Amino acid sequence: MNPGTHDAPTHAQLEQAAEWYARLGDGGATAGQQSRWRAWLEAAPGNRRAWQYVEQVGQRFAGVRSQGPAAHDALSRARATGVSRRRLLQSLGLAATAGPLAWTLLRDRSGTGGPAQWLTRQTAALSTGVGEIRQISLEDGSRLWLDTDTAADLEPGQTHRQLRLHAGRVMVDTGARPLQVATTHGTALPRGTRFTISHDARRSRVSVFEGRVDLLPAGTARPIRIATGSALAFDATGVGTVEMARLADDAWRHGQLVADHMPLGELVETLSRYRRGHLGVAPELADWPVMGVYPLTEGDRALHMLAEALPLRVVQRWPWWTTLEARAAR
Amino acid sequence: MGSCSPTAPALAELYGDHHGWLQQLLRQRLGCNEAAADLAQDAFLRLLMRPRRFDSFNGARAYLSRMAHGLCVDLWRRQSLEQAWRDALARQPADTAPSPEQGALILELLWEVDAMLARLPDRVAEAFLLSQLQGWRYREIAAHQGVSERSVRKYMARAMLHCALLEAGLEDAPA
Repeated sequence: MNPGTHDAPTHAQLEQAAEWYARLGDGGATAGQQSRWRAWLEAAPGNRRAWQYVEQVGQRFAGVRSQGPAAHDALSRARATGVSRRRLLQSLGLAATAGPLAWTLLRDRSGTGGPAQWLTRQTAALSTGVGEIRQISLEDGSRLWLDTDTAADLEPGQTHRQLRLHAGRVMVDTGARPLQVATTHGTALPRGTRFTISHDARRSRVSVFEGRVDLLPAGTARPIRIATGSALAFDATGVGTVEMARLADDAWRHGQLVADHMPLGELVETLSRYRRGHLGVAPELADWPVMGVYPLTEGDRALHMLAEALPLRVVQRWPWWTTLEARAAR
Repeated sequence: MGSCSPTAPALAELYGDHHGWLQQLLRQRLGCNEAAADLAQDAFLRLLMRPRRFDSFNGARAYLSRMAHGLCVDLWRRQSLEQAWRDALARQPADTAPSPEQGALILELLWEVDAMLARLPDRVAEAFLLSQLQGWRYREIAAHQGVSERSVRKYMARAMLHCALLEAGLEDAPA
């Protein structure tokens, strides 16, 4: 590891970072300001580290903000009734390490992660980063697509091979040898198949586009057959009801988000899995039905398309904090 | 872990000398045995994390009693934050209520943020919260507080510097 990595930035560098934060934090930074900020960022490693702390602070507050108005309400009231301004801060020394972790947990309410899965992701043989979609060809002609933020390991077996999916989503286009896919919730046994399987902390879901899949939920002996065009969600406690497979479960491998009357909230939640930082939508907009095909991995393009198609605006206050809000002035 | 820590004997000694006294002190302040035992434990945990040597018996007691005061303030403030959070939740629709586990995590986050801002002047902390949590523009904050936008920008820089220093561990809590 670079020995300089843990060097703390100087007080002066943090001061500059805070100045930049204050200057850019009101939105509407000019291109000139932005390029000066970038130049400052690149000017010294300590500047970059100082900025990382600014971002960490931002993330802490983003975690609170994502809890909605009650959180702010509670903070202001507690401050107003404050026991003592001279509160001692030792607790922070102990809590400091819990902070980012707590934030991660909150952020992962969707169930896509958590520290344990984060660790697994770091060590898995097959993995993709946030916003990455990857295709892998196996020697028998099988093809695999790994969706954003996915981690899996290929486990060779004598009669069949098994892909252990730790987190994320894969599509399997079976070649000469069957490739079964196991999650903690069960195992999908393909029968000449093209199918998608996704896995998060709460549940797994199989969608079959060709052939069929026999699904063996964890702890059961009898497989459930999933036919072409069907999808089934399952978790540790059992299986759901068979639904129709959605085009969206297939189109992602081409980097497309297919919305067919998809609520804006769900669409934004999906896009957010392909980008770092927070992407949110104002609650009053979350139910708007959206139609169309949007790029999953091209940064903000999908957001701009949405802003053109719907009366909303993209508010990017920070690199890690983007929200969609109604266009009408507040 | 296995290696001999030079502070370990000192802490054991401190514990022997002062733990009972500290717990008694806390009990008087808090009127609750259980909380007093917890906080006394906390105090020594802190000393374990950040060892420090005392040149006299009384020096140690003076330090511990300041720490005890801080811990009590902490506890009270934490309780008032918890109460405020419960009240705020009660004003929300019931179906948006977080699960107990989530509630605990959120409270932890609130606590950290509250602690980060605790030493800032009210106006600075308010401006920072309005910007960070409500997304208010500087001019809106300025109008709300009756100050100039320039002042708001200064508040922002000051609050962020303060938080970043704590985040970076460059600024320490007063003991």
